[in-house]
Amino acid sequence: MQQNRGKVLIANRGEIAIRIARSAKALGFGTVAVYSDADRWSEHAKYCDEAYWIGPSEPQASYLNVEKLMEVAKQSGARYVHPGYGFLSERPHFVEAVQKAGLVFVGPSADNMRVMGDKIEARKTVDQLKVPRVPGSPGAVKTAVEAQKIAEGIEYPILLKAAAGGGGKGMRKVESSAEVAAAFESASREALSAFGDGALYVEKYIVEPHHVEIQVFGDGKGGAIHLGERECSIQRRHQKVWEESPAPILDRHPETRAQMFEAALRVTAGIRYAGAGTLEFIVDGKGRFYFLEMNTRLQVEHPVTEWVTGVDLVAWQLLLAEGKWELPAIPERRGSAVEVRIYAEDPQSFLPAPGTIGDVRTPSGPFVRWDSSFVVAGDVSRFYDPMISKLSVWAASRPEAIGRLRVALEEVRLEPPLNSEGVQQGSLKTNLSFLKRLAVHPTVLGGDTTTHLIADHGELTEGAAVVPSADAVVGVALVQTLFQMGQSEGAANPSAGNPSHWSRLAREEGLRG
Amino acid sequence: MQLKGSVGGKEIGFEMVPKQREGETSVVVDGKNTLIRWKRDTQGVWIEFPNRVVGFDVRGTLNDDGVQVWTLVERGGAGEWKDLRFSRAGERAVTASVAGAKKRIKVKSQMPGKIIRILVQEGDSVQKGAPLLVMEAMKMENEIRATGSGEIKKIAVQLGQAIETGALLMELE
Repeated sequence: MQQNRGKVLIANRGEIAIRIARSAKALGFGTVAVYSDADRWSEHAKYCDEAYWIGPSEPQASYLNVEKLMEVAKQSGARYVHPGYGFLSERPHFVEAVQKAGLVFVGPSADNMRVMGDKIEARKTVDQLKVPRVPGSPGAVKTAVEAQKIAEGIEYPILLKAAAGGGGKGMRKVESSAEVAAAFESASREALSAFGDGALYVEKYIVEPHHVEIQVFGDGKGGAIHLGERECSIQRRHQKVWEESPAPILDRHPETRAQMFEAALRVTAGIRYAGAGTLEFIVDGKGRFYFLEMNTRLQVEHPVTEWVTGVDLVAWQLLLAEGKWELPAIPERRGSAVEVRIYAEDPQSFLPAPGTIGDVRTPSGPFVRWDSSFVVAGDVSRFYDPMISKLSVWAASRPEAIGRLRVALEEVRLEPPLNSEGVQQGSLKTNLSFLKRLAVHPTVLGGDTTTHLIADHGELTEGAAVVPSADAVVGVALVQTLFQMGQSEGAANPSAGNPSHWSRLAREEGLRG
Repeated sequence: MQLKGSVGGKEIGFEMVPKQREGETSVVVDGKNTLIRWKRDTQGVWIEFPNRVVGFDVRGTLNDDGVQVWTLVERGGAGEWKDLRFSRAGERAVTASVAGAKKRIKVKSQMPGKIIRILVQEGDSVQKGAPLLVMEAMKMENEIRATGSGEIKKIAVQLGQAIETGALLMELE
C-alpha cells in the first residue's frame, strides 16, 4: 500500500468516516480510525489502515474527547486530522489542539469557525456584508420575557432556536405570547443538554418555507467558488430526510438563485473561508431569501452536490490541507440528484428505534450511490445518531432521478433478525416505508415542497396496510405454517414439526450465511 | 384441501400442508387454483407463481392479546402489511377480550431513555394524542402521547427512571 502522502486521522465514525477514508485511500493517504466500545467491530474501524480504541461509548468520553484523539494522532503519526461532521467538526478549540500538536486540520480555520459558528456572531457578519436575513433578536435572549418583547416586534409565529447548535435540538415554534414561557424553558434545557449552552435566540417564522443551501469552497486567502445549491425542504423533527439539487424553488425563481450565489460568494470570500462550507437560507414562496446560518464543515448531504458537479469534495478538502489545491472556475452543474436518509426510527412517529440489523441488502445500478456504515448485519447503536445510510441517485432530469430513487429504495432490505418462530428480535425499525411513500407522493413529484410537507400530509405517516394482497395472503399463510410448525395444532406430521428441528435448520442457515 | 383458513378475511386453501423449507403445492386464493413453489429462509419466504417470483420479509410480533401477528414487507417492491394472521378453519377465537368490553390500552416506550416529566395523574381522563410524559433520549426531549382515549389506570414509571424500548409506561382504559 502506497502511503507517501501522510496519514489522515478521521475523528469520526459511521458512514462519514468510511466516506472520508475512501477518498483518502484513493489519493494515497494512510487512514487512521478511532472507535469507542460500541463501535468495536464497526465497518469504519475495519476499513482504515489503522484503528485505535478511544474509550467508552458515550461521545463525551470518546469521539468528543480531544485529549484521547490527540494521543491517537501522536501514536499513529498522523499528519492530518479530518473531523467529519457533527462531533468536534465545528469546535475552534479542536482546531487549535490539532495545530498546537503540529498537525493539519482538514477544514476551516478556528477563526472561520468563530465568526460563523456561533449563530449570533454569524448574523452580525452577514449584516455587515449586506446579506438579507430572517428578522429576529440581535443576539441571544436570556429570558422568556425578553423573547416575548422581541416577538412582539416581529410578529408571531416565531421560532426559538439554540445559539450553539442545530439539527432541530433546542428549537421550538411559538404561535402566541401565551406559549413563550413553557417553550423557552423546554428549548433552553434541550439546548443545554445537546450543546452545553442553553442560550436561545428569536427568529421570525417564515410562511411557505423552503430550505435552500449553497455549497461553497474557499482557499482561505479570500478566493471562493460555489458548487450550486441543494434544497432540503423535506424534514422531520427539523432534520433533513430528502435533499436534492437543483432546488425546485429556485428553478421557479432563477433570479433568486443568481442573487443567492452572489451572496454566498461574498460571505465566503469576505471571511477568507478555507475549505468546504455551506450557507443555509430560507426561501419563501415568493422567492425572497434570508440567511439562516453557515455550516463550517462538510455536510451530510454533500453527495448530492458531488453528483451534479462531478467533484469529490473530500478529495478537495485533503488537497487544500496538503497545500495543493488551486481555485478553479465555478463547476458546471448537470442533471438532477436526490438523496434520502435511512434512519433507525419509527416510520410514523420518527422516534429513534435503534436495534440489531439482521439482514442487509444494498441497492445498486447506474447512478446509484449508497453511503452506509452497515455492510453486513450489525447493531444500530443507541449512543449515536441512528442514521443507517444515505441513498442518493442522479439522472438527467428530476422526474427520472425520483423514478430511479423509487426503484433503488425498493431494492433496500434492512430487516431485524428473527428467532426460529419468526418473532422479531430487538427493537429495530426503519423509515424505509416512509421514504418509499415520499418517492411517489404527488406533492414531492410536483417539486413544491416546503418544510411543512409531513405535517400537511398525514398519509405519509399512516400505518402499514392491514388488508393484504392475494400474494401476501399466500405469504402469511405459508410463513405462519412454516415458522410455527412446532406450535400448530393438528400438524399432520408431529415429528417434522419438532421445534428443535427448526432451530437446527435456522442455525444451519445462519452458518451458511 | 389439507389446510384451510383466512388472512385478513380473505380465504385460502392449501392442497398439502407446507412443512419443509422448500416445497410445492397448489393453493386456492380468490377462488383461483394456482400451483406454487416456496423456499423459506431465515428472514421470510420466496414464492414461485406461474408468472412471477415474489418474496416477503416477515417479522413476528406479539399483539396486546399475546397472539403472534405478522408484518410482511415485499422484497424488491413497495408492499407492506402489518398485523396479519392466518386463522385456520376451526381454530378457536384467540382474542381475550369479551365483545363490548373496553380494552386496556398499554402505552409503551418506543425507545430507550429517561423519564423527565410526568404530565398526568392516575384517574385523569385523556383524549387520544394527549401528551402523557416527556422522555429524554438522544439528547432530545420527546413527548409521549396517548395512543387512545381513556382514563389513566396505571402509571408504570417514575420520574428520573431509565427505561428500555418496549417498557410499559402507562395503562389507559
